[in-house]
Amino acid sequence: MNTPRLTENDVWLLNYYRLSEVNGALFFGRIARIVRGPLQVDVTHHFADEANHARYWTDCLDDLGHAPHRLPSGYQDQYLEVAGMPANLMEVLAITQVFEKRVIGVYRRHLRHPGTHPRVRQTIERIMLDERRHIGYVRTALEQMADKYGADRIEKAVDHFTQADREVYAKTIAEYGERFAHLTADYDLRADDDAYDDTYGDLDDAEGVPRIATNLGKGATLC
Amino acid sequence: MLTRTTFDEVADRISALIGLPAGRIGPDTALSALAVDSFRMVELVVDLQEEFDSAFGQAELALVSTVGELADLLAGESATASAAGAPRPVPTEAG
Repeated sequence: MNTPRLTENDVWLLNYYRLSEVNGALFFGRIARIVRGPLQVDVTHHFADEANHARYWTDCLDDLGHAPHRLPSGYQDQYLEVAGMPANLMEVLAITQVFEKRVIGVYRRHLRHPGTHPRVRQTIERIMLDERRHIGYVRTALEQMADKYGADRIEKAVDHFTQADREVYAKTIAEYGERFAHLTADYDLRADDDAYDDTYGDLDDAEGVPRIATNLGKGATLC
Repeated sequence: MLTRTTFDEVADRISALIGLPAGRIGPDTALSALAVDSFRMVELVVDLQEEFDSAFGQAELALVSTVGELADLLAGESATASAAGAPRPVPTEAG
């Protein structure tokens, strides 16, 4: 079998993923510094995971003969601009839930692309195991915050950030066009659903978007 | 009503987080003048909320521009939270 070669767009995209993970680590490092109580464990772990994910992408690029390079901005940079700054811990977790859903959706689509390099596939699969855990603890934490913030308020926050995410995603696709071609390709997403769920568990709705098994954050699908 | 103690506590906490001497943080100090990036601002605001057990959201935060106003918000939310059994106000916008 011929191993697919990385195109220039592939290299750009892997660097984009890498930057996103670096930004995620920086963000969760900030939150890990100030979170109190039992959440300290999960948030600190999340921070470490994001840093590891950045390392995985760095190693992947290096293994494939490419040096990581700087990009002007990442996904999260536009996020706060469009979504606004989260002002409390609940909003931090709400925006995290939405963002993690997006990340999982993007990575899943990348995995489904038939031309994905085995080394890239390996990297995404490794990252996805952590992302699944992130979704779980964030979901639980948001449920536990209902007493303090109110379930309706949490749901509104998730809806707000979901709308912002859609806007940012649409802008990103529009701006970077062909770089994301494989993510917007019209191929059958359902073909591998059973195999995927066997590996990662039944997290997804029919569109391959993680289904958050709670009343919180329902309804959003990736555009 | 903002008390001197509350403002001092907020200023001290901001000072500790960003390394700016507390004496240089006054009620009229603009939040934008604290010279922190967006991630650090999130850390700052969330830390203050956790410290003062308040729960205001984006909508309320968008209305404040100075450290004094932020301290007022924290004091107001804390007073609301400490009222026996009083439900927290639910803002009309997300957050």
